[in-house]
Amino acid sequence: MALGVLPQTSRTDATNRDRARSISHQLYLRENWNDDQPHAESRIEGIHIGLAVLLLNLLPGLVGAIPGISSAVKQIITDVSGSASAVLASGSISSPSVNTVLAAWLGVINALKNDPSLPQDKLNLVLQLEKAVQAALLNDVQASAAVDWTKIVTIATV
Amino acid sequence: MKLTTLLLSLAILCGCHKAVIAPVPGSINNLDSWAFRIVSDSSAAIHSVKTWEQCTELNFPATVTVDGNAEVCDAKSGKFPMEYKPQLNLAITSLNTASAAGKAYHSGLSNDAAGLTQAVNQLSQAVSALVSQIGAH
Repeated sequence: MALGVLPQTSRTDATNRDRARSISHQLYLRENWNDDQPHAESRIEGIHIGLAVLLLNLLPGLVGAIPGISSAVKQIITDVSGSASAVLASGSISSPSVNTVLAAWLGVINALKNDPSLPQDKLNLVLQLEKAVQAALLNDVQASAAVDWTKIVTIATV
Repeated sequence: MKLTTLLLSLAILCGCHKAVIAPVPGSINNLDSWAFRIVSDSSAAIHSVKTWEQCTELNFPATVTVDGNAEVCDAKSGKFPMEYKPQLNLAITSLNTASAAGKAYHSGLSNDAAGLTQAVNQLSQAVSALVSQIGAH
C-alpha cells in the first residue's frame, strides 16, 4: 500500500502516515523472528501494538482535525490520548481497559456533537470511523484469547 | 554463609526471571496467533466500514445485509464518502489474501511464514490507510 499517495495533504495526513509507518516498521521487525531463538518471546512481548491499537492511535488526529475546535477541547483530546496510551501501554489489552478507553473517546465525540458551532458532517465522519475502531478493539479482546480461523469469513468487495 | 547463599540464589532467580507468554489457545505458534489477531480485528473494522458504505449506497434503509449479517443503518450517521470505495476494496482484498494465507499456514498446507507476515502487514497498512484517509476527507 503506497501510503505516500494520499488524496489530500494535511498535517493530519502526515501525522497518520508517520504513525502508520512507525507501526509498519515495528511490524517489519517481526519478519525475521524465529521461535527457536531464546529471546523470541521477549522480542514479541515488547511489541504489543496490533491493529486495534494502531487504529486507536489514529483517533486523536482525526478528532483533533475537526475545524473550529477550541483550545480547551483540544487539551481534553490530548489528555484522553495520554490516558488511553498509558492504559494500552500497561500490558495486554483487557476488556475493562478497552471499555474505559472507548468510553473516554465516546465522551469526547459526543461532547463535540453537541457543539452547534462545529461541522456536523465532519463529526459524523469521525463517529463512523470511531465505530470501526470500536469494533476492532472489542474484537481484539476475544482474538487475543483464542485462535479460531474458522470464524474468519471471506468478505465481498463493494 | 547460608543466608548469603540464599540471597544470592534469590537474586539469580529474580535476575533470570522473564515473563513467559502462554501460547494462545488454538494457535500453532506465535506467528499464527499474531496473524489471526490482526486478521480478526481487521475483519471487524472492515465490516463496520462496509456496513456504513452499504447503508449509504442503499439510501439508509432500516437494515442491510452485509456478508450474511443483518446490520442496522443509522440515517443520522452521515454518508460514506464514495470516492474511498477503492480504499475499502483494497482493505477487503487484503483481508481475504491474509486470511487465506493464515488459514493455509495454520492448517499446515503452507509453511511460508514470510509470505504470511507480508500479507498481514499489507492488511494492517490498508486498514489504517482506509481509516486515516476517510478521516482526512
